[in-house]
Amino acid sequence: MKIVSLAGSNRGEKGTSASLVNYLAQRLLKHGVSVASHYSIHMYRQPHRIDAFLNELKESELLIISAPIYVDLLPSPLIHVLEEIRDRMGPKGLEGRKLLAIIHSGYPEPQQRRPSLGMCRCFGREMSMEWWGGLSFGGTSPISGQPLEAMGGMTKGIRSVLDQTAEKAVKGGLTGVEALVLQDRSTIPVPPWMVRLMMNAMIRKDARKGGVKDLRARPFGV
Amino acid sequence: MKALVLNAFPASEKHSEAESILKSLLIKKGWQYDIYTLRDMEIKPCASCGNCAVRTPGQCSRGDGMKDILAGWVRSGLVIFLTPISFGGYHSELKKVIDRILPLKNAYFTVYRGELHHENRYKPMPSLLAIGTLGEENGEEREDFRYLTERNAVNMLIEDRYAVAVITENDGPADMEDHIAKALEEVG
Repeated sequence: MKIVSLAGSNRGEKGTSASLVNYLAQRLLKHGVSVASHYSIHMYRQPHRIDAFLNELKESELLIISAPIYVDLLPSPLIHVLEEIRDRMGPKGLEGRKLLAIIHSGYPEPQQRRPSLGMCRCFGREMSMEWWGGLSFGGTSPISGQPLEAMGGMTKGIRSVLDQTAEKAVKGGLTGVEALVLQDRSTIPVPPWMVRLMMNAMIRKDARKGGVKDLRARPFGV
Repeated sequence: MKALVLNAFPASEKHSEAESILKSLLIKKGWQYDIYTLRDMEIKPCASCGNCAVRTPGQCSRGDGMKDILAGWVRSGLVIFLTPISFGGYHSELKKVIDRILPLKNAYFTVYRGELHHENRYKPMPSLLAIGTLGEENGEEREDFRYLTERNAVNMLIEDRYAVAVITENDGPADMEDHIAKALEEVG
């Protein structure tokens, strides 16, 4: 099985999208399947790099999109690459290929990731791909581009989902689905009001340490 | 009242007359407006550095046309998106601006409608109108586009001050005017 991944963070290899898809790729490699990694920010900055990506995509059976949420939706450079794929390959250009999406955000609520998952599914439909579903992960900010194993128990639930996904992908356990989301996991086990209290205390402390006096400053003055 | 219009139509947009229809409707309602044609602007992608939240609160470290857009955003009563619908969402040209509006939020969290969000740096934030163009009718993309705009409204903590208009290839100028006028009525 030939697999291509597309990580959509503007931080490229240093982003959490890469951490997630790299972990999945390592698990797939244990089953003898390798994944060719690509990053939308590099293709956005150096448009010639999209040619090599499209060539690999044509030869692949599965595309894995791994992306964060920037203001409720996929980051612009990733959307740009998806538009390029559509415009260059045409509506049936990826017919029969499979599509799996991994969408993550710092926010724990699954509804915050839904528009991005929907966008991936619509892209797949427009390209006549088979939608294998979306994995939705919340509370991922602390990962900040580190390997998932380095985060210990915090990422246990996420790793378990990715372990299962790798095994299913290789053994034929993933198929076309109507459902938008296959699994949703958050690393945050406490209610939003408690997260707010803890995070705001941490933010105030960090600001004091960094010598920042007014985090609520209004440079535009209104 | 002032409106900020972000036009993400490419030069080849089939429904480009939507902009002139929108302008005449805004004038009829007595609104002033500023229009930014995004394809003519150099706007860099968000560096995802977090500086606008914690190091230089409210200020983006990238020097480009976004500073004017952000200043206009907080002085407007209504922000209007004009965009082709890409896979049920915003076109990348519009999204590059939306990715850069983080300086309008501050680092502190609040709980809004039971969800975690960042506080608004400026209050009140303007209402939101999203006008999207589709090729042929597509119920899934139409609904995803509406839901995305609703999510933006929740994120911006603007209650229900948002509206959506979707224009398809079968819509002539009169239909377009009707869709945009109805949506403007909802928010304006």
